Amino acid sequence: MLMRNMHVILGRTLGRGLSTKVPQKPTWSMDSLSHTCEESSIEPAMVEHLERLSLVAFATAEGVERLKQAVKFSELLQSVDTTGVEPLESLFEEGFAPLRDDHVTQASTEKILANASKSKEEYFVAPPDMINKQGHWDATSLPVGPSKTRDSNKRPLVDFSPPAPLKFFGSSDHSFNLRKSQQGSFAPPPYRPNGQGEVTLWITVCPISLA
Amino acid sequence: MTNSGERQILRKMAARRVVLDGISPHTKIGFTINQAAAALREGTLTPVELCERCLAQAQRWELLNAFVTVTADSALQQARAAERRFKLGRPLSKLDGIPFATKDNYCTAGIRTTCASNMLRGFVPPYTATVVQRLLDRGAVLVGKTNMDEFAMGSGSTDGVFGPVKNPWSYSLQRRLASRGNVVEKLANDAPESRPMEDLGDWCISGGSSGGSAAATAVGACLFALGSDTGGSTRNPAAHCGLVGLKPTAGLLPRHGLIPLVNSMDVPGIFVSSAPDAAILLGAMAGHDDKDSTAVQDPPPSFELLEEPNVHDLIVGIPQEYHAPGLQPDVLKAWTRTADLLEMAGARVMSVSLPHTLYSIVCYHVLCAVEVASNMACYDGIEYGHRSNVGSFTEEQYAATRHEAFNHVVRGRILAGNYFLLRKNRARFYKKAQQVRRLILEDFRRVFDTGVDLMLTPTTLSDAPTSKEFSAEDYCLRSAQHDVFTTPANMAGEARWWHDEVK
Repeated sequence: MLMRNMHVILGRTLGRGLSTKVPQKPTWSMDSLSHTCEESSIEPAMVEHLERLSLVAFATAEGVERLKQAVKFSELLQSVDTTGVEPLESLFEEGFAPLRDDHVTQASTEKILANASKSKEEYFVAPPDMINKQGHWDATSLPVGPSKTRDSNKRPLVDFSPPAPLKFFGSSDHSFNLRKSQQGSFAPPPYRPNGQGEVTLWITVCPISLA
Repeated sequence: MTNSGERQILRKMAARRVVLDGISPHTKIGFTINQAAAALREGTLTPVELCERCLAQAQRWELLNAFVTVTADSALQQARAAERRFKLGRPLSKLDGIPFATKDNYCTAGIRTTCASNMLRGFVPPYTATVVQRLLDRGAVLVGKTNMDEFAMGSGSTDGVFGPVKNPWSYSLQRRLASRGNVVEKLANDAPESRPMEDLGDWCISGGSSGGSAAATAVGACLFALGSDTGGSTRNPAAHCGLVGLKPTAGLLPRHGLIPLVNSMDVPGIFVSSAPDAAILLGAMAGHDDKDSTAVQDPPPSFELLEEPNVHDLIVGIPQEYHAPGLQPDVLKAWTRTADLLEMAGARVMSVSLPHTLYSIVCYHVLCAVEVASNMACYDGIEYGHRSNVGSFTEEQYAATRHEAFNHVVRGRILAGNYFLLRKNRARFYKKAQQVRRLILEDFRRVFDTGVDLMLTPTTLSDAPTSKEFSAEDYCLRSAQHDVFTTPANMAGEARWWHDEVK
């Protein structure tokens, strides 16, 4: 009812010359963002370097092309005058992020190891920190073929089984492998290779990093 | 009765059915939190009935692919516990017994949390995110985890491994009528979703990356949902699905348990069907958290909304730069109409300028890629997540693991981020983006310092595109276009509040 009245009043008033504050035409164009720069070339050496730093592969020429486009797009920043502007590193620069003492407040070896694909007693298991015979890792060693189309995302490189059709189930349906391990102290034991080409390492990392 | 008379009646019946099916923001069967809380208190509705109704909606609208996991058993358990509390006359809060869903990047103890990625497909967290725990402590009932773009990277919810999320409005009467010849035949059908849109051509995207939360709330599979917002991932799908989407001020809601995308921009987001509901939720979740040192230290203010809002003393700013290239006429019309209505109601509406809006998407693009490159470094397959069988050495195995389990979007951002972080590039890209970010923040501060209380802008350039239109564009370009209105707020950290009335 109120909205209908408002429409009527609006119609009448606009007829009398109230001008809207909303601009009726675009106030800028993509051209105003243009910045003359050459498209950067990504050399094969750079591709290899980035793959090594990222430990992911570009996989296809399309991936490299996408990076080139991303870099070209980012060059638009150069047209902004930032002389004398301090970089904004954190939104909380005017406050303070409290720290606490570095003591263990909650630790359950069982819970921490529960999601690891491979673990042994109370350790995570990692491959040895060595490089292969060539002296470096490169993406061509990945046993997956490049796919040529944009559908590369639809053809998984590893055949993950298709997700089960979403059916209703309770959280009790989840069963995950709980390793029976003692809840011990958190002091990492000395490093010792187990002689089978694997190294057991004591690492505790959570997928959450804050600040 | 004439043929046209018959058609008229059938059309009205179908329209009513559309409303009852819960895909209208003014739905009769889907409640707002306030309505449901009142009904639960009076006893006209029980928590178990409400929970069953929501679960039934979730099942009915399964074709939307809004959920990754529906936790029916535990939801009913929680609902029964809520019912016992109501019988004793001791509800925990207004949220007691209210069903909700969370995006699948919130850790929930004992319930798989996948981020719609193969990397975390089997990951079951041992703890629950703070904001989710706060809702559960107030009695809210978790019905499930919703679908999203992989690791929250995207603005369409089309890039997750569980498939895309379809916009429930794809199945609206209007769209179905437009694509079918025989009106009477269609209206005689008993269920709107019985005719899938695939054979008609296309469905609309739900927006992203929290599309599943938006779709689930829109059809009444839950009364509210949590999403996350890094560059618009709550506001964008809220706009496309006809909901209220709130991106709170950075730091107000703690992020412990929210698997991070960009630490300096991520915030938990809220999907509801009315603004007062958003206020209730903000109040329930905001506040200090020992486990998140970036969360606000001081107790937050009260978030009560007035019963009768008065806009007389309000100063509304219209940033001129928000008429960006590509803004569709419908959106412009809604924006203009809303601004003019506010002015007619007594608010002071004025033009303002945020000159660096143009650069927000580029700035976001660089900062996001850089932080993603860092955050995604924790996925090596050792402590959790997918682990490849390939590779006998560290680098080989880590690389194979990451390559197998990340989609091209995630991989592309990691590579771009590392490019921007190279020593020779860091000043040119990363530091520059941080400087531009400060300029964007200062734009906002300057406007608010002049006394402006709020700014009114569009959320997206257009209404929800079809999936064909969306995938036709290049990925980089499309998220750049679609995020132009939403990214500035993430960079400035300010709260933004959207309610799309056009739908």
